[in-house]
Amino acid sequence: MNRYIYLDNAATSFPKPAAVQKKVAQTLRFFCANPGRSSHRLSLRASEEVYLCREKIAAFFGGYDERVVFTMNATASVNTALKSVLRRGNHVLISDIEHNAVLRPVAALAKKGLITYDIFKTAEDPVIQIREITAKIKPETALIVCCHHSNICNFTLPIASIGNLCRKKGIYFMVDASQSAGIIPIDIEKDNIDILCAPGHKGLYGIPGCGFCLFGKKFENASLLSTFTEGGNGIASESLYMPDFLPERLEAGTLPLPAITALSAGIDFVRQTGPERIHRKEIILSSMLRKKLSELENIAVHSEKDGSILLFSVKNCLSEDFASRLDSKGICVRAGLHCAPLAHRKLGTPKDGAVRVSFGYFNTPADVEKFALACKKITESEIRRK
Amino acid sequence: MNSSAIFILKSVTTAIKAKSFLTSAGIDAKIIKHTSKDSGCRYGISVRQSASDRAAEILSENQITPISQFFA
Repeated sequence: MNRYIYLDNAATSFPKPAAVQKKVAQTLRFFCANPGRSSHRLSLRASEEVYLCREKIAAFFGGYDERVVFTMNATASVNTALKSVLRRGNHVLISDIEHNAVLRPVAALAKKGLITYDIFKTAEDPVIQIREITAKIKPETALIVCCHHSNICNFTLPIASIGNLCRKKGIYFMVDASQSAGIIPIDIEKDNIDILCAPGHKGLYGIPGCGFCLFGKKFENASLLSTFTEGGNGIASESLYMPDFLPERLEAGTLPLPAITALSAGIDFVRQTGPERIHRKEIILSSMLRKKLSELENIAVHSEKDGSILLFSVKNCLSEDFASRLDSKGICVRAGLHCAPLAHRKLGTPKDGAVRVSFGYFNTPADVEKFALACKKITESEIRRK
Repeated sequence: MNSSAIFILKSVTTAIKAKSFLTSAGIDAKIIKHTSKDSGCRYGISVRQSASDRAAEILSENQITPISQFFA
């Protein structure tokens, strides 16, 4: 029996499905060789497992398997994509709820004088959203980057409409699906996405250590992409340069095989369970918790909609202090700014941020009951003390 | 002695796809690695020489263009 309640699934989903745990164990025990390096059976088995995962990602998100590029995590995916696509003098638009995974690399490129960027206001209404973005587009705008779903509230951007605008304007469209992959359906063709970046260890239920970029049709000619990291990948070793085709052009060094096979099993789990079912469960739990927290006078819930995330702050209590008190009761949540200062600014949370509860498929109504009771006890003790 | 036809392909990813297509068509295909100082290291597919024409057709049908082809 668990002695904790895990409500930090937006950071990484936990626990992992039994099939994922089994696949990792099998990988480590039977074929954890270096994929794409040798011709012996274990290396080839490893290569086949890597390819299988590319196929599953491509099938899940409507893309092409050879345009799946593996990275360490979603942040590495965003960095790889940005630095492969952007050229000196380009202008980039990002949303006002971006995670630091997007904000920091864009800001760093701007600081070096390589690009300029602006931030557009987000709106869930596609018409308003398109108007906001259109007003910010410049002749030199080459790329629009946005998250699909915020990591601190249940705000989903109308990516299909933004993608359609990008297609019409000849601008690349890149989506950070860190909080939506595996939960909200994405089809890179239908949603007009040129580059999809995602982690393997959150809504796709893999383990930390692997993320990916899925490039769209525009990158059939991979020489359009600058290389971000260079090194060995077992192909054309005589050349000084990385291959001019995907995925190998952007994959240097040994791939994280256990994380990749875990992602394969995680995608199977999500497909079998159904992303809609997973999301519906999270919405129900979020709704239950919202009702319970609204009965506590010292708690202010910042999320307007129910979904996988519920953000709140507590009167007269720092968010990290409250999270620490929850931890002492065996409850795992994340407090602070969640690497998303822009989004916190937009939501108007206190200076020290807020407490984030993020649900996963394995959470239960009993978790919500226990969490709400713990909050009640802590806030009542706070009231008594103040 | 049975000799083999070797199709050198651009990457291990392509070799795995090629093997899958060939196997589905009933051709016994094996992934091999081929290294030379000129072309560096490449992956390829080995099939029986008698199946080489059919294998070439299947690769072509699936838009897989070998970098080179030889018999071993």
